[in-house]
Amino acid sequence: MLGVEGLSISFGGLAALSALSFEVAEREIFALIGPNGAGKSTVFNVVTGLYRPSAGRVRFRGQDLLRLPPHRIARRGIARTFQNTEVFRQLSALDNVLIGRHAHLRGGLVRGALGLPSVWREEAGARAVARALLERVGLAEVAGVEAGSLPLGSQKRLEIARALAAEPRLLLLDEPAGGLNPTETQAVMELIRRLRDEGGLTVLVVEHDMELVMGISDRVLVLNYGRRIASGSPREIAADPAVIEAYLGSEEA
Amino acid sequence: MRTGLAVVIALLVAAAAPPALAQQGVTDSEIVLGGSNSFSGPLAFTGEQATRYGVDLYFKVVNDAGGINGRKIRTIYYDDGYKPQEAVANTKKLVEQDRVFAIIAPQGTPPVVATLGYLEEQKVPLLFPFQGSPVTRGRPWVFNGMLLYDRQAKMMIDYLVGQRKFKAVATLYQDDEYGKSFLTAFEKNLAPHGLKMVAAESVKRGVTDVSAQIAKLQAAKPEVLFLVLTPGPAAQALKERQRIGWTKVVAVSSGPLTDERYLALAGDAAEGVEGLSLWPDPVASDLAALKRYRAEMQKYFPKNEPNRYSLSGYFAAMLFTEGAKRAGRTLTRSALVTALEGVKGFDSGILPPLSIGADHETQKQGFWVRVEKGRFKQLTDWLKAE
Amino acid sequence: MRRAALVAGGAVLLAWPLLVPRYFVFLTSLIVVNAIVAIGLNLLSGYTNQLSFGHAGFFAVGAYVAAVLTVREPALPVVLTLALAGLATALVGLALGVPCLRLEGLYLAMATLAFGFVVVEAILNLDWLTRGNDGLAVPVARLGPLALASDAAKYYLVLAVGALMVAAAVNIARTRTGRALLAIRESEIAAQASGVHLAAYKTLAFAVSAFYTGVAGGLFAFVVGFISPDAFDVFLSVDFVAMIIVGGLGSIPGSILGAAVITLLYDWLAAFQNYRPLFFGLILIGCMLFMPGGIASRVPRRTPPAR
Repeated sequence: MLGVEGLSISFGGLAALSALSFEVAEREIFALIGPNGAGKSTVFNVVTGLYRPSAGRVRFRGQDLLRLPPHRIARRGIARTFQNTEVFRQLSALDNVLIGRHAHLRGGLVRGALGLPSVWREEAGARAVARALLERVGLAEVAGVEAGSLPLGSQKRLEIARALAAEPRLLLLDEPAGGLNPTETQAVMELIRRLRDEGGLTVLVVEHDMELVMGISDRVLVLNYGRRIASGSPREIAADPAVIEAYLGSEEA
Repeated sequence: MRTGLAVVIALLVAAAAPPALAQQGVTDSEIVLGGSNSFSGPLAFTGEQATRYGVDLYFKVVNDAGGINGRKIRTIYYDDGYKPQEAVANTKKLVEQDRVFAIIAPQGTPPVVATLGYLEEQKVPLLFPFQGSPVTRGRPWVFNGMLLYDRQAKMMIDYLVGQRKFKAVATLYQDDEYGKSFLTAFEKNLAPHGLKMVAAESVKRGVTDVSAQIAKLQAAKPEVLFLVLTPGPAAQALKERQRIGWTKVVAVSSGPLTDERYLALAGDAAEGVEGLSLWPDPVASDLAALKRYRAEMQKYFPKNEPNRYSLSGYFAAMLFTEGAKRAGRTLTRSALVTALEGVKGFDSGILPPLSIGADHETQKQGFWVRVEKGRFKQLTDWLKAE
Repeated sequence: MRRAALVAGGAVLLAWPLLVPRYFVFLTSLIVVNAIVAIGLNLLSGYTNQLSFGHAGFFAVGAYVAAVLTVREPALPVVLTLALAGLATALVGLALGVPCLRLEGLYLAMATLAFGFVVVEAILNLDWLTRGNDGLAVPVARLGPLALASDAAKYYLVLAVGALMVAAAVNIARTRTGRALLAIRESEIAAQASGVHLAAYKTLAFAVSAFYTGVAGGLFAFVVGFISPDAFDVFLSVDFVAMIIVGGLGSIPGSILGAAVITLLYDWLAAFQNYRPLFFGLILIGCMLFMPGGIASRVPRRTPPAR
């Protein structure tokens, strides 16, 4: 479904990604792991069109993504969350999710300004969808609360709800468990699993939390200094000496 | 909620009810005058001097001597920063809220013109606006203050062509109402002498480099060069003339430029420039009325230097006082207009004896000056426009 | 209760010319005109975080288009004149918005500031059309057989147009376009990731903001009856910015309140003559220090209706 081939990008002479290739299959939960600075978020930023790579190709459902601006990539069915959360801080949780629905609404400037009945019908529909999504991530109670004032765990879930509002085919989650306590992490794992099992989504996840990675991933790719050092099932990865050397050994021990 | 609303409405209605007055702005003990003027913006100095240190100076003297027919004069000024919309708002406020009797000494053509229609419709006298465009001529409720530009232009031509016998004149003018008023009047008044303007060049507002225009004008070989500009470009023109050594032409500044601050801008390039002065030298003149003006300034505003702007306001207040005295105890707006129209041979001691009449023009004379050693030196006695 | 308050407020506004002295009718018209500008500016600065110090320029374009149209075609219905003034200004807004896409913060502020100067220069140079420095007397607005000459007639025109503009702004703010603008303000990358076309919406914000300001400029020309380039200097742009800062960035009621406060303050301070700019500045600084979120932030927000 998502094919990355020979991706290279460097910032100020430092290679962030070097000839990286991988393929994510439909309905797969695919994890990218690696030490800080390994280039995991850079992959997300290239796939969503924020960065232009110096070499390589990104294909999504058979189409080249690299020439598209970010909003077009979003409209192709790729939604994401952010490592340090990028909720719309001064807007309510509900409005955050409604903006996620942007691409599915048609009310433009003039029709909106005139307040045509069709616009209000569409709005009501969007609100219903947004509320259902908030319910799904457990934020129904705080729909009217300013997003910036929610605790970090809630902001992470709000970002997932906003991403889901776009009805994506591929969901990119950047450290969904970052800063969460073990109970919250369990809830997020459960949510991701259900999104794939019930919603048929493909999920690409960047995560440090090994419990989450090992618990839900179908396949794992390990990056270090922008290069792939290993890939395979969680079990294979856990046993790979190069991974233990480069990552698990040095950082977690 | 409903009672609250009723109270609000009652209060507003009460506020709106006009007080029972014989004539707005005049009570048994007081006459209220007002004006919108520049207290900020490009003409702030002029505005403040004309009003607070000019009009008010004279009214302080009058009030301390018992007022006009037993009434003290009170003035209200609002700042318009030379913006027409502010002038409109201020003038409406003065007429409708402060209920002034008349508008006195507002400044600048755009702000004054913006209020003309409204004041006419409300039949409020507009007294002695400090602007020279002829657009204020022939209006029943307006009495002009400054010598109007076209009249100044006629006096300049009459003197230079009639008395000094110059034949070739050229003009460098500001490309707006001010500049064009002079240019048209120059051309019109040259015609009876069988002459034509040999060259005329315009300067857009805000432009300071006038070297191209000066070069073209020099090529036309005029004997006299009129400068109808604002102080900045006029000073530039004089410096350019000095730089290229074009000394034999007589440079003549329009009336609004005969001002000490303009001389400071031009420096020694202003030496020898001639012009029509509308006021006696406020600092140096030894006329008795000017000595009195300086003494009163010293008494009431010891920190403020005498200058021609405050003198113009002082004179405006003097004229109003004369009109109001003549109108008598039953002071109404139309009585004031009639009284001012009847002013004949009024000797202020500042200007030569002055008659107003039906044309509503107060200032009709000026005298010729030349800049010598950085000051205006009087060359002629008062010149007449007619 | 809310509906009752709205009806009562509407009734007072309709009866206003009968209730208050004439001068306040005029002043209220100015407040509404400024409120329309403030709403337009807020859509750009408050909603989309694009700061503009050039709105006096848009205001001037609207005023001159309306005035020149009325001079040339005195019989043109005022509604059409205002719509044309708004559309012409929106086009100018588009023309400014596209090159400004690459700019933000201080650079955008400088570019818009320069735009304001350019407009004044253009008015001066098009003097065959605008009468340049001398200013332009604006003929009375007409609506079919009606001549809108009195302060009250002008007030009703301003009020009707203002009400439409406010309603449209409220609708825009509550629907997809308004949310997209807010999203851009809050986080450009998250907005893009949600499918919001950044360049299109930023430019749209410029055009809509210019449209509002242009219509307001047209109304201004009719209310005051005389316009000159002096009216549209950089200080006017700063006043507009002050309105939305005092009222509250990103708030439509705040825009209206801010416009009212600044207009009344200006009017009231006129009596202080040359101390006016000083007092005005001090009051503004005070507002920013003690009410950093503007007046709107002091009004408790209604909790959204639970469904």
